[in-house]
Amino acid sequence: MVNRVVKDKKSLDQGWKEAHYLRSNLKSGLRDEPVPQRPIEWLRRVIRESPLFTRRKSKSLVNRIVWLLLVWSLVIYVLGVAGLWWSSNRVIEDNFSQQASDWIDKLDEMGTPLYAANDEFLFHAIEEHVSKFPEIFYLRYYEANTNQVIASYTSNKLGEVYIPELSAAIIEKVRLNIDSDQPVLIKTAEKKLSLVQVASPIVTRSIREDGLMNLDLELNSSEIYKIIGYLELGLDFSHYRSKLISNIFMGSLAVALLLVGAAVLGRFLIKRSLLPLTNMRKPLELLARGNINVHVEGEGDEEIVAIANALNTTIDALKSRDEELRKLANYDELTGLLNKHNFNIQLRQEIQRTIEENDTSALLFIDLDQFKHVNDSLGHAAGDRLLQQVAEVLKNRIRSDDVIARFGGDEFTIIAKSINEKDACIIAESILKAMQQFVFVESGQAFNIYCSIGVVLIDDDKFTAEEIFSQADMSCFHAKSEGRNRYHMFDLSEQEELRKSADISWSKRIGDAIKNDYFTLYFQPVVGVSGNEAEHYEVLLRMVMDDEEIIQPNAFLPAAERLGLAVDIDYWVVRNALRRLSEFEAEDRDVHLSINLSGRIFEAPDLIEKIQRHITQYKVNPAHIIFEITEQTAVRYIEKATEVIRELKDMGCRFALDDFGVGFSSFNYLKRLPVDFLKIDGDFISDMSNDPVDQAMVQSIIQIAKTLKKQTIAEYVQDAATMELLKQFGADFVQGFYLGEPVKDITKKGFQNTLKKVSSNVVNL
Amino acid sequence: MYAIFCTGYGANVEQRIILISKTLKFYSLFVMLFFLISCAPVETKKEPPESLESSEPTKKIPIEEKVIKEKQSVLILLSSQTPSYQQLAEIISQKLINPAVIKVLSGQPASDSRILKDIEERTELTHIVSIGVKAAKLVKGLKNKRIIFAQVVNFKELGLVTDRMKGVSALPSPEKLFEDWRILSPNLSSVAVVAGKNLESYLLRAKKAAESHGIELFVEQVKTDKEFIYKSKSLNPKIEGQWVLPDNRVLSAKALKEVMAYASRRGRQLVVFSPKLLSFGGFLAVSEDVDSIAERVLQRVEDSADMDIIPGNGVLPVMSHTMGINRNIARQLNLNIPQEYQAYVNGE
Repeated sequence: MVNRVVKDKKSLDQGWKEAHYLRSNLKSGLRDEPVPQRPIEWLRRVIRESPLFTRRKSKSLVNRIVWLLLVWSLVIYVLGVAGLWWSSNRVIEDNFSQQASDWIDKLDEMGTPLYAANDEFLFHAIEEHVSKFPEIFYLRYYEANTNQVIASYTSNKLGEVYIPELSAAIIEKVRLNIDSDQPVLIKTAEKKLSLVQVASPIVTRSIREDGLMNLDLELNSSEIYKIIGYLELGLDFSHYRSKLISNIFMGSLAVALLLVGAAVLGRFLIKRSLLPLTNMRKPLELLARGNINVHVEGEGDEEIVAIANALNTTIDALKSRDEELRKLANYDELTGLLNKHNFNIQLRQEIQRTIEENDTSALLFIDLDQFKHVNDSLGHAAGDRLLQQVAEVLKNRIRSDDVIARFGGDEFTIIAKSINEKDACIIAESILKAMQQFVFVESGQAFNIYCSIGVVLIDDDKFTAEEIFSQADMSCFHAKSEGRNRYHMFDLSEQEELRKSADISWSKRIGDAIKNDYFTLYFQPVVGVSGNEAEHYEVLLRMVMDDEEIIQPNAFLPAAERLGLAVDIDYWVVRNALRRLSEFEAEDRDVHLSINLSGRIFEAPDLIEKIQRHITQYKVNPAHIIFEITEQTAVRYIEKATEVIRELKDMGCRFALDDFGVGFSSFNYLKRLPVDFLKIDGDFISDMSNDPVDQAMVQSIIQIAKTLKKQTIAEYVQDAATMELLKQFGADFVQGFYLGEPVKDITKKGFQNTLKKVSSNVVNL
Repeated sequence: MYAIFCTGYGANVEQRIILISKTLKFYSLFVMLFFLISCAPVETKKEPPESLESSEPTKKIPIEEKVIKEKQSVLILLSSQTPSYQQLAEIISQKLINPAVIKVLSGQPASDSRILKDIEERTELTHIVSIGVKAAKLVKGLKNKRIIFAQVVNFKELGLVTDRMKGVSALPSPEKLFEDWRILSPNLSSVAVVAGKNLESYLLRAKKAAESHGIELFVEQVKTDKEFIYKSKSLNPKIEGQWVLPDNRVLSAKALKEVMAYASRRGRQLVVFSPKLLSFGGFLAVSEDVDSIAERVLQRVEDSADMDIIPGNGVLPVMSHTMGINRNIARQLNLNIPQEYQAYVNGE
């Protein structure tokens, strides 16, 4: 059976990759992560990645701006309050200094009678006066000559605190301050009191002799000074300070309220200002999810409009690209008809429909007869024009409900829906007639282009789409064999004959595959149950078609066997498997490969030499090579096989007997064959967990192998239960989809993961 | 003469030149008339006694007559180069037949001593006219000279008055002052004066002069500028005027400014001793009349021409003064300046 898998459609994938890249960029904001190399760059990155500057913490731009605004306002607020506190303190201090100065002036004047009359009793008036002012802690008048206090006043507020009298040093300092208008500030030791101590000399002045004759009140130089005493004053500014704190608190509260109000208003204004940007969020989210059927509204600020325009342009470009990719994925670029991929889908759907509706349709496979001639003689461009014109001719011959596709090269397919055999023939004839009337004119030359048509009815569920297509293909081949320019209706009785005809087609394909390396190798892991870490894979062959379709070997190996191409395939496989092995070994990997050989290869006279040459050519370790031959092949070619096996084993290679147990061969043969592994046939393994007979068979085979000192490989392991049983029975190696599917590219890590699967399975058991 | 000096305060140059020329014409006429009646006695103002020592008014002698008679050799010693001192010295010198020698003290003790020694050694000098306190103090010890001092307020305290040393009062005439003040402020009833000691006789005279014009004069004696301020501010609020004497002992710039500002705020009429103080709130400025002082000095020289001593009282009073009126203050005090006083108004 031919499994057709559409894989790696390069153009489609490339297109979607680009679209995905664009989408990713939109999501990430085209942000690249720079690699910091210098401290300044590192600092920049730290700042950039801090919560306020990244989008991780704040998902909304509006919120982020509002937060920034709030933080900034808070900073300004703190600075403002600090500044207010500092400047207010300064102002208070200045005011207080001025107040102290005023008090000094006033008390200086009030103390005049004290010095004039030298009568302490006069001080009572001063005392009475200052007692009305709570800011005055104490007051002292000193006599200038003796520095003794001649009168003093102390407020009750001062309590038990004693403020010492002015020292001689301070008095000297005060004396030297005679020319200043400001009193001398005395540092107090009383930290707990809000006390300001100031002192000033009490000075009398008189205009110098003869000074009145040229009197100038602005010039103090014409005066004589005389210190008659000193005045010391203690002022309490706690009242002012508490008032200052209270005022600053109230002021700060008012500013804070204003800031909160401003923040609320700011948030509203920012949200309103960014509304056009916010409105873009929903379409952008849709766009990020892959929905390109969106339109970004651009309104408001010109920057937003520019962004919206850019996004809309990008979306339009994506739409165009998407449409183009869809076309590429579903339509033939040259003719505009459906392509092979889409046609296969349509064919399956049509088969399903005919089954469900009990209807009949027809598949027509059309191959142009003279296309190669046109293409070769006039060039590919002319060939392309011919295909386009043929497509037009065919399109005109079908109904609107019918499906037409360019299948590849010069092959066209048509699904003619809801028609019987007679109508299908009429359509085929109609197409033939149209093509007979069609003349292709190129470079002044006229060409009659005919075609051959294979017709198959789609009328039951016996055949799959691939089989129906194969029948149409064979019918077309038959029509061509009959002399071209005709159609052939498929008849089931003709299938064998058609198959033979098809073999001829396979012969060409296989030959091309060998010649042009259209084959490819897949590798399926073979894992040691005991935990052997060496990588071991079975090499599996696949054919790659023109359209990159991967063909399983069961599709072409029977034909290859019939056509005598199996040996060539074997050599191709051996050569390429050893080449890959040499590549693995070059990578310092311990890889073992099991290579399947067909029975025909034992008929080849130069088998040993060729294998020897390839081993030498690729410089691979023969011990890493395990050749697999089926039990039936080995028995059929027992003599030759035994000889070849011995010779290859002498070179260091190992052998496995594949599909062991299915041939019911005599164990005597087994004793004669010097193989290293018995590969238990998958039929025993696949359903072993449910079938006690299979279990007994497998157990027996393993026991026999152990007796013969051969290792066993169990293939088709599809579940953990089977794995468990094989472990119990003592199988040496396991292989199957449960452990790993065949893949084109193998890695050591992948094999280790498979090993872990086996190990974990063991642990779980 | 009044006009010349009064216009000095606020008058422009042109006005001053016109006034000087008018005054010269008047003066020429006066000299001619004086020759015609040279033998006739000169009618003088009635002056109250200046001090306790000199309570009798003295006759005013025409300067020209004295100059002719004067044969003395005079040296004028100035305490400093103060313009008013120089002006006085020049006037005195001009009135003498033999121009006086004018010397100015520098304020440097050595230099001043040299000047003193020079004066002492110059035997031809019969009279020393000292202008200002420093000059008076310097020459007061000279034995062989007759000394007349001027522009000294507190001469008593300095002990300047001896037989050979007498002076001319530096204080204005209280009689003239209260006469003018009464005219300018008809409703004035009480005035105070705050001054230093040793001015009792002058202040008694002033009290009498004030009483003669129906004004009660309160006298407060102080020692320092502080007391001056304190007493000035402590004056009975009903006292309508304050007279500030040129007593340097109790005056300071701060005291003057403060007291004048205080008085102005309370609508008190302030009479000050210098026109410069008008701008600080003074209502009326009364200062010495240099011509009158010069006249009195020459009189003293003449009186002592043939004697070893200077006859008469310790200081001779000056019977006239110069005047300045602050129009703005007058307006604030609701005082109308009579027509005959308009010439003394500041700036006119």
